[in-house]
Amino acid sequence: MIEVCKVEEIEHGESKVIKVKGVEVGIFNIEGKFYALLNSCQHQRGPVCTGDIRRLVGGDVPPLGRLPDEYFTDDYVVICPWHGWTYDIRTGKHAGDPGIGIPTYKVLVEDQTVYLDV
Amino acid sequence: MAIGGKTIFDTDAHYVETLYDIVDYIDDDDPWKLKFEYGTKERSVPISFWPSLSRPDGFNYPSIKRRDIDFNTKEGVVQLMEEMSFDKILLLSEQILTFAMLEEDKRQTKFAEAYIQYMLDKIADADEGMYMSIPVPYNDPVKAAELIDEYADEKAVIGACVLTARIQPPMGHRKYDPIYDACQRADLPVLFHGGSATLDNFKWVSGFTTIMETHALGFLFDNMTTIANVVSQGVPEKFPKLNFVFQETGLFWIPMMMYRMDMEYLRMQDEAVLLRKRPSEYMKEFYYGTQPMEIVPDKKYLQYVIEMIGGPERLMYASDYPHEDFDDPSVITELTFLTEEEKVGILAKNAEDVFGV
Repeated sequence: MIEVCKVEEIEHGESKVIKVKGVEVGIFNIEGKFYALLNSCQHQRGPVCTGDIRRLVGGDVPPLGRLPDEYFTDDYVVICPWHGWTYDIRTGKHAGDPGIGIPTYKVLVEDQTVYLDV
Repeated sequence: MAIGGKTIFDTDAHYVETLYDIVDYIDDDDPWKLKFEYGTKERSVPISFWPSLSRPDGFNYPSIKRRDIDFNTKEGVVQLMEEMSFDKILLLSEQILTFAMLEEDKRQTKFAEAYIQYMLDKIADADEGMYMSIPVPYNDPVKAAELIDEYADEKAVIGACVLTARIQPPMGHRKYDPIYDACQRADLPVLFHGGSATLDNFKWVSGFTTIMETHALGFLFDNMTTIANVVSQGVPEKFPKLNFVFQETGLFWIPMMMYRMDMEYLRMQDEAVLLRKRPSEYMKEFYYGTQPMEIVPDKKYLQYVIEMIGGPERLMYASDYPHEDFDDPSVITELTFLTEEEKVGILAKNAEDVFGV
């Protein structure tokens, strides 16, 4: 376990990139829960964990002849700032193709301190 | 700089100039200066004068940001080259992307004249590996040829770029012969660059509702139209010493066009009386920018495509920086089916030979 930071250092919807054993890892706080992803996009290795964090946009099949409504889902994603590849922060899976994913890491919180399990 | 000892020549990066940058290069006694000046107050351009394009940083979509580079200064170009390990860079005008929206008037020619002077004065620098292309004002081919004649000898000018978005008639038409003639005399390669990228400047078909559609198809429509017309009208036979480079269309469209054009030619060759061989043979003599490299599930598909279009010696690495779909040099360096020599060619040498730098 590697100590990353105090809980209050990363607020909801924010991330922090740290270097562990030569590897960059992004730590995310989503509604008080912490997640960790490798900071390397599967596309062209962009610094994905430094990208914008948002709720995923969804839509459903509309009534005949209508446009689909677009809405924010409850899933949070991070968007690679190089080209826009978008990943679910909890699973590391690409929002458009779950067959593509970036490695995730276990995160532990104890005594208001965030630890990374690598 | 270089990567792994290999020189990197980016043959398609967009210098994000604004009208504000170039207005000083229009003569004070030229009535058009007033129009450009009015059009650039506070860097805000009225759409009645010039079509809206991109943000000054060149990023057109939310969440895209890469480096804190102001790609609107020479320092920004230097910074980009250092960070991306580019040894040489060929800069394309950003505002040329509006050319398809400029109807038959002097805006293209006035812009091109001022842009060339601005770039030569402030940005382009052959000694530093910073090259530029002439934005060809194809609405006025005679004036375009004069500009090529005037500036082709500049050391930093290494190409003439035609933005192929919705050019009508397409670039095989005889009206453009003065442009090709000037390029051939100056030994200046012609760059055909697609550009019908977004909902509002995709003019081939109306009715699309997502940029996913227009961005996927626009560059293709532009350069498929161009290659079909240029080949069938015999432009390579009329100007046999001219080199043609097709940019920003990826690679997979090329074999499709080669074999479709061959099919048509073999049954209707009497329509294309200037051709001395199959269309695909001409296409295998053209050069192609690699960006945007298609994303394929198995790299062998890409390998086949490259083989079909004449091999790695037809390719030139291009980044398209700073746009949203830019390609890092790793799209070439990590292709395991290429030999080291072939990578050297794609990353720089093919372009160095064609552009003479």
